[in-house]
Amino acid sequence: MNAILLQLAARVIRVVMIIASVFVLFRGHNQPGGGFIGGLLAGGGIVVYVIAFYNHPLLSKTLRALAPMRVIGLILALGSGILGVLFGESFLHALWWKIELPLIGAIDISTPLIFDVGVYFAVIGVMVMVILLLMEDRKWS
Amino acid sequence: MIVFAPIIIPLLFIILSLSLNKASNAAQRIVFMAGNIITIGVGVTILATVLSEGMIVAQAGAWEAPYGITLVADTFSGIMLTLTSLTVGVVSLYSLAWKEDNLNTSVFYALIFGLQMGMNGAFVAGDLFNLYVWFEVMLISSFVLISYGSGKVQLKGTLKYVTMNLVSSFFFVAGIAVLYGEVGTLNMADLAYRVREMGSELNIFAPSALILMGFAVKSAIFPFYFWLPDSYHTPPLPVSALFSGTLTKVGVYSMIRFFSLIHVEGDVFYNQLFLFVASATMISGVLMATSQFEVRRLLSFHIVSQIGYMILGLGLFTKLALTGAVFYIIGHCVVKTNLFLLSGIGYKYTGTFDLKKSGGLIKKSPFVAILFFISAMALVGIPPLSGFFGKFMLIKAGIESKEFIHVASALAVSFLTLFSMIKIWNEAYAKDLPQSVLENGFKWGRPSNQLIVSSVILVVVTLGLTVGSKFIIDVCSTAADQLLDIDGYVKTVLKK
Amino acid sequence: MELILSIVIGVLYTVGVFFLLRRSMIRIILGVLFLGNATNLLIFVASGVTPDAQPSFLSSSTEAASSNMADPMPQALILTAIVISFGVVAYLLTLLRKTHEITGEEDMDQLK
Repeated sequence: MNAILLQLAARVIRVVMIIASVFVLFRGHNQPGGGFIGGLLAGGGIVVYVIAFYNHPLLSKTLRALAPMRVIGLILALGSGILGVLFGESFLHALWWKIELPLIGAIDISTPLIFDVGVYFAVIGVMVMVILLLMEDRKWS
Repeated sequence: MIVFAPIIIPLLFIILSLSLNKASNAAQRIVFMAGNIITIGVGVTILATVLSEGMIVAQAGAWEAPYGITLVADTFSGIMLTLTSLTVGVVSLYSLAWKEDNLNTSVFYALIFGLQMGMNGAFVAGDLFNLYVWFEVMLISSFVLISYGSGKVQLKGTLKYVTMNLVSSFFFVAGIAVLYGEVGTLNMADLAYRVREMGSELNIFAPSALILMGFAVKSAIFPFYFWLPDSYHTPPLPVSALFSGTLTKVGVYSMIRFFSLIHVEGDVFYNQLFLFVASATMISGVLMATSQFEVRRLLSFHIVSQIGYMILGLGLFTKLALTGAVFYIIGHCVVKTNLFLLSGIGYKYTGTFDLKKSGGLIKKSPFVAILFFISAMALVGIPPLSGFFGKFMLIKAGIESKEFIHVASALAVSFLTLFSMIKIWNEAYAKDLPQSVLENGFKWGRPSNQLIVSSVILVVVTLGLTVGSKFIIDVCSTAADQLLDIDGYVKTVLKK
Repeated sequence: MELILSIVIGVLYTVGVFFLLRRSMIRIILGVLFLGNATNLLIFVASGVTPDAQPSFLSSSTEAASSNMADPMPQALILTAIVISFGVVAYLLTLLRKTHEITGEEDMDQLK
């Protein structure tokens, strides 16, 4: 299958969706959004791209590239919980830091944000893996 | 703080096993066993802490009790944590030597830890919705484990298992939803508090019935047990053994926990219902077991029948009955797992699970025969083995509460269990190999020593339950006390 | 509002149960999806529909009315339930494909 229009669109859609997903991820603390929704958006972008350019090397390359994301996501999510313990509070305790950056100004970094980023990565990893494996037209066994 | 450990440690090891998928087999095995040993250690530590200092309560993220996620460990949770982590540990050791069905992969190890995380979470959850989430963690791991490997029969069993458990989950969530609408809280302590404060104004009948449905399917009680014997004999044997020992116990645990907390003095309906269900479960399970000749199916029907005893304890709801039920859960978990492990060892010898085609094990390996004999007699409840104490306490409590019909059915079921165990003994151990099998060029297999060692560990635990029965019964009666002391639970968790 | 939603829930449960009792496996998956959505809506309705209530967590600049706040709990519960059903459906689809590959069957009654 060689859908030129879809391929043209998919290049744009992938970039737009990933940028949008990052935006949704970071506004998630106080407004609608968050790691899960962001992860779904980004994963959707990647899946659309793979569907448009479907071939085996691309599919397995995407799978391989995204494989560490699940583990990284879990580590971040678990780590954000453990950070609370390390600072002498209970598990999953929210900690906040203010960081001064040049150009941007002061931003808040918090353990809920780290947790959300972890969820974001885990959702991308799992969702893309599930869809691509189901899509693959090779025998599994 | 320690209450979080049973959840964090398995999660940590899930991450470890998944990230080690390229590492050497030996490294993976070491991580796997290390994770199991640490989890057992955590379980024992929690049990010891609870016994010496009383209930442990922890709030995730320091959100105070009715609002945040509360984790509570009391003696019953401590017992269950220790028990299941021990069982999972032994089965893990066994699965490493099973050498069939492609069990030694990092995914399998991660799944076992996932199962353990779900069970441990369910044992320490102090919040109904949290309990549901841990149930799902456990279920999804168990879904993948039960479809691990892939024969036609197995897929069929998997479908039954998955569909039934999903439907039960929906019942459970629907119950939670209605309960939240009615009472306005899901924290179990707050729930108990509000039900006691304004019991007559609240209509918790419908939500409790829905939640009971959810638990009933998961713990396989009458009349929702039919999925269990149809699916438990299909996966690889170590998985069957693991499920038979632990999964239904989680359902029973949640049932005892939930219904003891919302128990209203003088409300006979639930007690009568539980008593009826208990008897029906025991009798129907054991009757169907008698006609089976596939050893795993036979043992699966016995799981159903013995869940009845545990529910009997909940139905009688006296201190002695709950003590008996908790003791019975301990004994049953160890013994049932071991019977499955032994049937696997028998399979390694004869190459079949069919009782009609096997035999002669007593001559081939008297040692394994002894192991089986001890476990089987412990299951039946021949004194002084572990099943006896639990059944004795339950029956005594039944006589004290004048529930003679249910006592009679419990006794009758014991005899039928003895019949089944003698059937396995006769068919697999005592009789010689049938002529038809010998003619087909039969060859004895040889199980590796590690398989037998894992079974020996569980037999030693069974005997330990006899030797240390006084201590164990004390622990169980502390657990029963805490289960009955609802005010104490509410005070400790809510601090009011 | 409650009435309409209750009827919708009823219809969703009916459709879910109907699909669940079919023999074809893809229908079973659809049934699970319907039941899951019905249950999510049930959580939403059972905890009280408050159409003109304020969100409970506002940014500090907005003025908060102490009365008439929406309950944030059911939303948290529903989100969790949705994530769980996402995982379950992913598993079921995988199982469907595996079953199809091994047996070539889609009809549950042929799986013997």
